[in-house]
Amino acid sequence: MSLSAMQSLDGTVLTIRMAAKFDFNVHAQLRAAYRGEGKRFTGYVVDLQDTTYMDSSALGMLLQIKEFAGGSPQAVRIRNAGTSIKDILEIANFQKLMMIE
Amino acid sequence: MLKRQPWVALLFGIVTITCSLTAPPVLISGSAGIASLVVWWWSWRRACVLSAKPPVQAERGRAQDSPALQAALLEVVGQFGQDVKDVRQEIERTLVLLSDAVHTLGESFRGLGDDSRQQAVVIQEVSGALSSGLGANDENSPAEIKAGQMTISKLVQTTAEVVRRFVDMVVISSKHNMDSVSTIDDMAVRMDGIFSLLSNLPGVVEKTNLSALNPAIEAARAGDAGRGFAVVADGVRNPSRTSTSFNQKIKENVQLAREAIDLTRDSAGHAASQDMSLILAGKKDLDVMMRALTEFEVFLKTRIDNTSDISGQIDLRVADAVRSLQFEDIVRQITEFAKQKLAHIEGMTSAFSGQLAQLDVRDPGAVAADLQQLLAIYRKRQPRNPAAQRSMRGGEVSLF
Repeated sequence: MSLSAMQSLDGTVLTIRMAAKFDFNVHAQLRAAYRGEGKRFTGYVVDLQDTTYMDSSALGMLLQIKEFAGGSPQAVRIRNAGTSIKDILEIANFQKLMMIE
Repeated sequence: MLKRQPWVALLFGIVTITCSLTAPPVLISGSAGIASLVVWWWSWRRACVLSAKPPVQAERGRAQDSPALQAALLEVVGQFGQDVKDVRQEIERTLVLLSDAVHTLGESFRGLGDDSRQQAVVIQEVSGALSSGLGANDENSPAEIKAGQMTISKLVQTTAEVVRRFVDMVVISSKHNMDSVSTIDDMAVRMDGIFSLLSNLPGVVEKTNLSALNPAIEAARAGDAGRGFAVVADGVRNPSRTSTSFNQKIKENVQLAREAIDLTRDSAGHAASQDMSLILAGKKDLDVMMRALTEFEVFLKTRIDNTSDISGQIDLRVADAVRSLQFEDIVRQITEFAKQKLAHIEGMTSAFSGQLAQLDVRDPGAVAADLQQLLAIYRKRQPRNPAAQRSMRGGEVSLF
């Protein structure tokens, strides 16, 4: 199952729903998804509902999205992360770098 | 009858003389009175002689019994004196044992007190090392140790900081590697562009080749006149053939570069991909250990405080024990008194034995007087009891 991206109705927020495995292999696809056709959104939501595995490259990619979004901690929201995924985000102190819902 | 007779004669004599003084004839009755008194005197003398006889017989009896009696009394008094001496010696031995035991106890308690104080000092050092760091109070320690960095809480704090930095480093490194991957991807897109541009080149060469072919045919048809033109046409076809092989080489190199880029991309990708679950598990283990260590530190501190309290209690109890050992003084005084008293009794029995040895049974009055005198001396020289204190509770003065 690959990732999917969907714009909000008003076109300001891009929601990317990640696959089960969030690692280096999704890089090109993810990059294409958030860069799109060069359009910049005011907010990016990364939905981790289906994600069960995440390595440090995923953290690097989340930071890339944040950088692309302008670097503000409010620009990137992580949604629906499971306990083990949340543990990884917390150990990396991501709660201070972006919004974890 | 004989006993009563003198008293009748005396009464008669007194009455007769009294009557002769009050009524006549004075001479007759006076003579009779005097005669009566003479009868009384004689009778009394006789009675005295008669009554003196039986005591002589009793004296003889006691004189016969006295050596056995004397020996029995001497034996009783001697046994009594020996027993008193035995008891006095036992008391003396008890006093020596008591003195030794109390001395040893005193030494033990003093040693216990010293040990307890030394222990308190050691505990104080451990407590100091725990709260301000090992070697923090040592002049020779390096500056960072003096600053109190070698504590358990500092270790826990530093370890947590190191782990946090390590995780940060992993994340930042992943970010940089992923940035490289992104750049490589962009580069690959450019490479692919070059590749597709190069794929157009053979068509251009072919067209050039064909374009040069026609002038060559025309030059051949013109014969000698077209020979110079044929050279020009050949000149156009040759670079075209050269560019085909050149193009082939570029294609090969770009392909190699593309493969190298893919390898680099994979390497950067692998470098970016650290298994976070391993780091997480390690961090969790470390957290548990550090929490246990923190709890252990608290546990140590409380127990050390408890031990300090116990040391204080030991000091108090040792002081109590040492004070209680003053009982020896009182017991010694009491026992000394008992000993003196026994010595006194011993002296008395000895003196009594002396009296018994030279007992003159024929003169009981003298014996009684001697015994009375002996008793008076015994009472007069009676030792006084000096021990007044009966409790160990009062007073703080140490005798040791």
